[in-house]
Amino acid sequence: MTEITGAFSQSVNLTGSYREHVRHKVYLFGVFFVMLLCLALYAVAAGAYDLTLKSIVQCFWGQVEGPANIIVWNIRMPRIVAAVAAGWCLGLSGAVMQCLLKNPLASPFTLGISQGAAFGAAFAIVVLGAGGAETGSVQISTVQTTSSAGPMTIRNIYSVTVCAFLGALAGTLAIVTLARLKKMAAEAIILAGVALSSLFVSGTILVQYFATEVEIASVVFWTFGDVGRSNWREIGIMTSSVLLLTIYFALKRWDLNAISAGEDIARSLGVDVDRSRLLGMLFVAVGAALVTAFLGVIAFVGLLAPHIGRRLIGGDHRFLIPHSCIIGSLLLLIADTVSRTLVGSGTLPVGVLTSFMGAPLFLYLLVKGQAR
Amino acid sequence: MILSVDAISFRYNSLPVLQDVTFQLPRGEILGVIGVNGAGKSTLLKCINKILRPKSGSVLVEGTDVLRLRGDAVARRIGYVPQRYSDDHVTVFDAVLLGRKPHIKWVATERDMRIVERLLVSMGLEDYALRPISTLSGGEAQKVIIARALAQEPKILLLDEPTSSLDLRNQLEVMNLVSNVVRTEGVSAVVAIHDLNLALRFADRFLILKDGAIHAMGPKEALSPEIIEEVYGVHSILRIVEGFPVIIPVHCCKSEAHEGGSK
Repeated sequence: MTEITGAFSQSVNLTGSYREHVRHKVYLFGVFFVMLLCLALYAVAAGAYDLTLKSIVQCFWGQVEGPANIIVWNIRMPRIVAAVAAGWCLGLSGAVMQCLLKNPLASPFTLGISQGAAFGAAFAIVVLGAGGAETGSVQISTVQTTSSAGPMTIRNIYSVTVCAFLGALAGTLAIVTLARLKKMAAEAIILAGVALSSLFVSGTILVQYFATEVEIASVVFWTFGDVGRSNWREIGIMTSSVLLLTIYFALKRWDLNAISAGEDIARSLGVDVDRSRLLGMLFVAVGAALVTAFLGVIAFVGLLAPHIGRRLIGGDHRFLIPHSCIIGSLLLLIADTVSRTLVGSGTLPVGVLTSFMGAPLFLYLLVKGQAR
Repeated sequence: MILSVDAISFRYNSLPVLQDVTFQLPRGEILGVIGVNGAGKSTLLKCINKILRPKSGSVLVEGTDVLRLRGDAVARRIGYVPQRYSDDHVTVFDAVLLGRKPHIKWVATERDMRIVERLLVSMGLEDYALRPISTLSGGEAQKVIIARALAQEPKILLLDEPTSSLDLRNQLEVMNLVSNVVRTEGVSAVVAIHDLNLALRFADRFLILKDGAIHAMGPKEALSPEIIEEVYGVHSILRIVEGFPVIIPVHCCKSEAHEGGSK
């Protein structure tokens, strides 16, 4: 084979042009990375209290005390890092779910994982009495919960978070167990997700029926995804989980490519499809559950990021995974920065904006995809 | 013998699909697997490379029982071309490079690249290398899938009805390609195929399945009008036209021979 290889390599250089083709994808990731950095810098500077570049740099070097330092480290940086980590995680979850379930509609939102979290949160707020007036105070300013919330509120928020996480996990486990026991096809898993999500929505409505007005307000408020809700500790948990997930799926990138080529092809290439699907779904769902538990329901980012990524660089998961992640981060940071600086007085939760941005953008991608 | 299948049996739940299938295949030959729909052709192919796990029996490739090997070790010995494929969004080069997966540890090496390049050139796919598969015609796409299987550097190539969705020209091209690969690369191919005339032209020997068991087996002559009538319930005649054996179906027989197809 080597002699033939040599003879052909003189006449054509496909490998060279392929490497060039791959290099473009890497460059594009670099461009996205720089865009993310610039946007993050803008997001630190912009807001009700404008900061200069100089004062931001001084804050990063620890040379300033006072309001600028508090604004950067306690208010703006937490929400920027949370937006980047959450967007990254949602983009990753969407890309992996869409591959493993072979369905372009798969995402934490469409599979009922987010609704499971919302149900968990509603349960904690109403039945366990974790919300109510304390969580209601969040409505006045989302920022206060992360920076100067009292110990009572934090404890309540934790029980809401834990219940939300359990709700999301319950949804995931139900779907994964159904898929495992009944050896369900990927399409059936999506349908099960739809059924499960309406079950969770009904459960949330039922819980709300027995709730007081303040509790209902808290439940509804919790469902609006908001990246300004978490503190550094939660952001740390989220970021490190996201990092571990990214490493795991980076190691599995060839398996994901094989699975997206078809189950039989994947098996013939030595991939244990059932095991990969089970573990993969469980891991991304845990990631999505964490994000939803800490920040609330953020729709469409997980669905949209992989679609944009696929449109830009194709379906090769060696590149689709990192691109979906960074596009997710960019989308969420853009949405949060826009909602913070342009809309109203900076209290519009980002989840509302992602839904507004996401739905038309998704429809546009669908229509454009059909026309091709 | 490069491939030795011994007493393979397989059931879907309690329904027996394959019963005691035993055959051998020498190096550099094409085995045509013939039978009605549902006779167990695809199942046999999937049992050979462990996509499905047979309930009993063994599959030896050059003396090694592949059913006892790990998935990637099987994949380095047996390449598989399924009826359906679905990675429309990737480029032709990426699709063929995926065939190197069983050999790739972390990143694709220069050797992996060269093998993909050689396959694309030898199949006349070099102009499409960086195009998504979705933009290719059925025949070209089928060649890409065969190239991917060959990129595994297999000893055995399994093809599940490789010509069923192709036009006349592409049918000939794809089968010529398989035939050339088998002759020049020293691999052997097991081809499940419905088109009896293509099978007669390209296969060196036949395995005729009926109701999951071997009905007949042997060199080209095994596919006689009598056997066709027994298996398909169709009366046919065999003629030699310009040196090519041709089966001409005449009429359906009033027998129950076709019952196997109702599964």
